[in-house]
Amino acid sequence: MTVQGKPLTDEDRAIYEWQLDVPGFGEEGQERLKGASVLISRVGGLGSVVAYELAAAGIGRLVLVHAGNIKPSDLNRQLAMTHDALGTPRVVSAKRRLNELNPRMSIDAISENITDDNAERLVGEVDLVVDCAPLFEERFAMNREAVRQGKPLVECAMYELEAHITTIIPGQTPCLACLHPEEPPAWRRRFPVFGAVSGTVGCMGAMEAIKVLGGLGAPLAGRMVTMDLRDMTFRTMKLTRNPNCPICSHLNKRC
Amino acid sequence: MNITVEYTAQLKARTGCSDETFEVDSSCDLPALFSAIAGRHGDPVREIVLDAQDTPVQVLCFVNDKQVDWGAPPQLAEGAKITIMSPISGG
Ligand SMILES: [Zn+2]
Repeated sequence: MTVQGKPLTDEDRAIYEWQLDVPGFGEEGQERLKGASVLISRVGGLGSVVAYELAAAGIGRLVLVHAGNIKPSDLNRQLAMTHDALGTPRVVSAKRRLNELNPRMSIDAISENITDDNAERLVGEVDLVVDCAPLFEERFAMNREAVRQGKPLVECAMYELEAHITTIIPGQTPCLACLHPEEPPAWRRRFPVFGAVSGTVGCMGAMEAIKVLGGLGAPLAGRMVTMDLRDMTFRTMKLTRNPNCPICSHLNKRC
Repeated sequence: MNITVEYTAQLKARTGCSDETFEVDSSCDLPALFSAIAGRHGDPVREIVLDAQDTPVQVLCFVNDKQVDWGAPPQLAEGAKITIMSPISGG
């Protein structure tokens, strides 16, 4: 993918010097991150950590999408939320917290969730999307737009002590609809999870975004890492495209 | 023939195991295996693996680590390992 980089300042070089030494990244990768924008939906257990790590890494702009106010039950895992902000909009708390860490970046805090109506506009604002949303209808709307606009989509998910992650490159890898051709009937909005689980996969999601945007390493394209932190089992599964996928099969490159 | 079935996430929680063996006829295909799984574990598992018409929900599933194409589900053979990835999300 091509992201137009932005030149670094001396302050940038001082802040990012530990990662500027990473082979395959360097000043060029940092400039790309500075020029890049990422949509994160939502900024809950996963999205808070994705956003925090991207803010730390020097992403240029984040678009945070999450409706609603902070509830007590958010605080076990939604690390961009704070106790003193209970009852106030989640994205406002997230923006404040992220700007404490990185006041140089730009943050669009949007107090809505992804729908069929806003997906085109919101995905159109960014270079890459990280899906941290709980409902399959939101995820399918994001996937549809990411595929249509050719934007990479990092898919993170979790349950109890388990999680998985994959990176969708439209036209090259399976899309979300290749993996889940229909909406799972038994999925519920609320499920058991620890913040340390969402945080683990959130860090991985941020790393995937950094790799794709910064042009280093081998993203999880066409591969899914699944993990069970109860016994620390990690597996990598090879994924294949659905030749009849209604969302992406018209894009011809196979992975 | 004997088939090993591995579960993740909600399916692991609702079956109470991470893997188990099914002894099935040699003609058993993937839809028949999903019915056998629902039959062994009842409604909490049935609602994940079968829809209201008792046809398999097209979950992410692997046979011997190869992803199932629900348009052309593979034949099962003695000793096959099926991994059923219970759908999960963020939050
Ligand atoms: Zn697809």
